[in-house]
Amino acid sequence: MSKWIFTFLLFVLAAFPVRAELHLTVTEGKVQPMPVAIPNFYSGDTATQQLGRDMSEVITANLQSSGLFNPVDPNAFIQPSSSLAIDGPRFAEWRAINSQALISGTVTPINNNQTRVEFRLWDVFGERQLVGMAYTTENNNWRRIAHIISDEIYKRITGESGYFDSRIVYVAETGSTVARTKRLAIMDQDGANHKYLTDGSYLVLTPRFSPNQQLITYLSYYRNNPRVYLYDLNSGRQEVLGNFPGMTFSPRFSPDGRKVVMSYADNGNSDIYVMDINSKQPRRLTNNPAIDTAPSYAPDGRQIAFESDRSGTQQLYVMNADGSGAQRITFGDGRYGNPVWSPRGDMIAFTKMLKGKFYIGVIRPDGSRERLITQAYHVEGPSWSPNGRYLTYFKETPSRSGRTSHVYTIDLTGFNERRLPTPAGASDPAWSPLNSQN
Amino acid sequence: MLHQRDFSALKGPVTASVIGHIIVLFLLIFGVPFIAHNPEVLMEPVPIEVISSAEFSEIENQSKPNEAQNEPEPPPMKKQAPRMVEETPPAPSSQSAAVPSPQTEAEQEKPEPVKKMNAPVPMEKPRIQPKPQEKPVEEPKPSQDNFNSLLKNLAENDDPVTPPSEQTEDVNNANTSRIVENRISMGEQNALLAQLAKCWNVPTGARYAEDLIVDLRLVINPDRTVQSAKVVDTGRYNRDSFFRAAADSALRAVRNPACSPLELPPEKYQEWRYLRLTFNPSSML
Repeated sequence: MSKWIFTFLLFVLAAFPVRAELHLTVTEGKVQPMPVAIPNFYSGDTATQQLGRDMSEVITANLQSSGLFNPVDPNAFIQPSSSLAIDGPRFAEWRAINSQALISGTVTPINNNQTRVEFRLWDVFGERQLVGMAYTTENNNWRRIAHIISDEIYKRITGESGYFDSRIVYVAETGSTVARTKRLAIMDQDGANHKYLTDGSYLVLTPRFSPNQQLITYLSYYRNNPRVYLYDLNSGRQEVLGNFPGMTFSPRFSPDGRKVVMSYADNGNSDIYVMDINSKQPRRLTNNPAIDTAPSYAPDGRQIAFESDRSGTQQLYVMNADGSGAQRITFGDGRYGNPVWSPRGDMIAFTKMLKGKFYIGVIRPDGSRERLITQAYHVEGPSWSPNGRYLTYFKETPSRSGRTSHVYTIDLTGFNERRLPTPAGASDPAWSPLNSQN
Repeated sequence: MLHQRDFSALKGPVTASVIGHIIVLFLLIFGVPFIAHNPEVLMEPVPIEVISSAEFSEIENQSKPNEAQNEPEPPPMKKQAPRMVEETPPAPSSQSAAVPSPQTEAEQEKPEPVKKMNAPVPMEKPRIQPKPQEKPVEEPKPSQDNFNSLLKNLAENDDPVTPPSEQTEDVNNANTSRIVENRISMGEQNALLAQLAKCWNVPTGARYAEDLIVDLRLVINPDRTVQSAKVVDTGRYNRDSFFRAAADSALRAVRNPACSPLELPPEKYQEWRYLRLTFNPSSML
């Protein structure tokens, strides 16, 4: 019986013609910023027209700095922004100027103090809207709205969350090399809204952001006693973290923001400890005669990357969050330090010293796919953008007055290195999470 | 008498012999009708010249402009109304003193329908040529060690830890699928792949970018423009934002005016009417 059914099915299948399909695999492409048109956000009200222009300017600067977008020259635009706001996009005209994406927006005053901002992201080739959002905000908050809109655009095009609505805390350096003043400073990721947090009367180093609170942990030489501190951005209050008899340094928050992992040096030996912020109870994680330092949690909180010279040279290791099961992950030439686990979990950034040169590199947590992405006389202190796509770090170069230091950002692909604008010398940058997360 | 009698006796057989010979002669000249070959089937000898696939591609490219002149104008593409996609706005974030948060509203109303739709403007002559803003910073410069890599590595030896078999396997797979049996020649396939390579912006910095392999199913018009392009793995498209971005980059590649019409041999329409394209970045990373 089954034989008959099988034969019948064969006949039925044979009755349908087989559709010939050519199958090819594209294995080559290019990496080029996507052309995007960003006309001024339209406003029918003269009072808010400038606001619309300013917002488009910030969005343009953001997208351009990412290296993934290439804003089209506004002189090339065919369709005016008023027509765009009222009639919608005439896609053929945006295709004609080689724009692949289009951002349209309107700014409408609600009252003297509040404004409604709308934006839409259009796929020019596909002739469809990709994102549409509206925000109501106080007028003086327009810059942040521009960053949030930039993040929405970035997210829809790249598939990963944005990073424009974020800040960078760093150590501002002034004065000569021998009498240098170091102050904590904070600014938006594009350099705007810069302000100093400490007055420079004592040395500060290695600030790190909390992943979910308005807190910074850092190393302070307050009263010449190097200790790990907490700085509350809301109140400006500072407090020492723990009461260790020796030096604590290299602090970093856990992904849940409840703990700080750090190094504690006692009698010339340094090991890794974790401390609960509320209970202030420390717990020792490593117990090794070698120098264990620079701990950094994986985003899931289950593992910690750190540096150690337990094998004879300074190398990177990964251990479980309770300190067990340490595994070495770097085996290349030179010395490795400062591991920083990416917030998206796929990479660990590090500093490498090889043949008298400094490098910033990235490696998979299993030790594979190591790449060195930038090099300088002295380059150090990588910190990930909240989306894990970019790194910020500082570069020091010899100069007449000793050494000058500046903060840079780079795409993890190794391209698009940019210097961030700071009023003075800058080192030890740390990227915040998205402002909406803390 | 005897002779006369003999001749008269042979008269019948001689006649039969003559008739028989005539029939044989007739058959020799004209053949047997029911087993005769149709002379129309006989093929003229065709001179053949062996050329390489590279030469073939070159000849194809050279012949394109003439073909285009001889062909009738392709029908204009049908304008489809844009599909409006509304996204849910993020939940309003809590206000904090350090960073004031805006109020975020859901986009309730549908966008205004597009009232006027102009006919597509030819791409060859943009009205105003946009000036390059600056030197593109992401333009990759292939290193000596890894010619095809779009990721920078300052190390002298690229990735000593990664087993080399992983990458070569991907390349082998790609090559295997390139030589799928079909009547489109290697030269013709390479011409299309070279064209698409100029239009595909590879998502190199995405998380595990080497796993973002996108399959597209395309239906092509006889004028070699794309009638429809669909992502095969729609489940992953809706689930994985990195994959969605990679798939969108593949869709942009096939819809890019710089890649329209596609470099395909017009006379072999039935061979490429249904086209499946796999975009695999792994060998470039």
